[in-house]
Amino acid sequence: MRLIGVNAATLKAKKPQLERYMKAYRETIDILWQEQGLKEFADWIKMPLERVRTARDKFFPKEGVNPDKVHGIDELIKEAINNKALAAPLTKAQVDELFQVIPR
Amino acid sequence: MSRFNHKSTLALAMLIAMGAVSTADAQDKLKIAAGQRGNYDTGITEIGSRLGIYKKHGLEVEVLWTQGSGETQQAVISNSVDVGISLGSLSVMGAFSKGAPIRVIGAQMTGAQDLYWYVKADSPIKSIKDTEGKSIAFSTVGASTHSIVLQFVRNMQPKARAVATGSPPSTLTQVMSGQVDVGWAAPRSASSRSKRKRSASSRLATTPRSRPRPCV
Repeated sequence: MRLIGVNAATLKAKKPQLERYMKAYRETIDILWQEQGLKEFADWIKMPLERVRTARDKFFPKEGVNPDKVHGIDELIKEAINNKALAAPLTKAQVDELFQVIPR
Repeated sequence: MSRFNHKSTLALAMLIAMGAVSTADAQDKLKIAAGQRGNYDTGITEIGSRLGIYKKHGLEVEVLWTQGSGETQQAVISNSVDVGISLGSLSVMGAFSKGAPIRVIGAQMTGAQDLYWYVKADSPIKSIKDTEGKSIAFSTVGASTHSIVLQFVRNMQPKARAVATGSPPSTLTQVMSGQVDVGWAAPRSASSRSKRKRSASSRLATTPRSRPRPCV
């Protein structure tokens, strides 16, 4: 699971801008899974359209980049403890403070 | 109306017009840090900017590319950027638990189906189990690639070494020059280099499935 993160101070000071950012982010996702977005991406990285299409279709399912929900937080916490990234499980209050997903 | 009043009114109207134009043109600026330039998932902001989607929402975004989520996370924690894209979840939780001022506003990628590990074509390594005494690459400390490689080492080959190699292009160079035995990549970067260097091609060693877990 990879995440979109901000500094706590930024979340406090720029919440309206971040809400607009995420709205535009979601709109861009929709377009990137259409022909227009695919062509723009291929132009940007200067690669053949069909190779970019193959990479997208094989490796990047659209649902995989949906920012609406961080899945499996409990499992991630267990993994973090196993990998020694966390010394102890996060409390519910900590989880609520850390994960403040901007809704659609 | 006196000449003074007429001129004053005209000057005031011009000032108002200038102010209105300035207000309409002003866009909020956001700096975005993201790793792995060229990956489909991390390129969302760039493409949105190119297509004018962010402008439509009154935003001007500047994307700064990093070597991986470790660097991106640092940029977020130090408040050098407004948003960090593609942060490793374990590292974020670890930093947060130690008091780092980091918060999550969305999921960026669920699953790791876009990542793969590879070796040189003439390598004797056929799978992760063959990596005893060998080095396995990940991008930066705390990244999802780091978590995956730690699982490889813990569950499949405890005598392998995890080595930070940065971006896929940087990693490919290190694999081809023999500095690291197993490289990591996401689609596009390694495949484009492999196509150009047919005489020094790489082959797939392993790919994790939808969740970061040991592969067979």
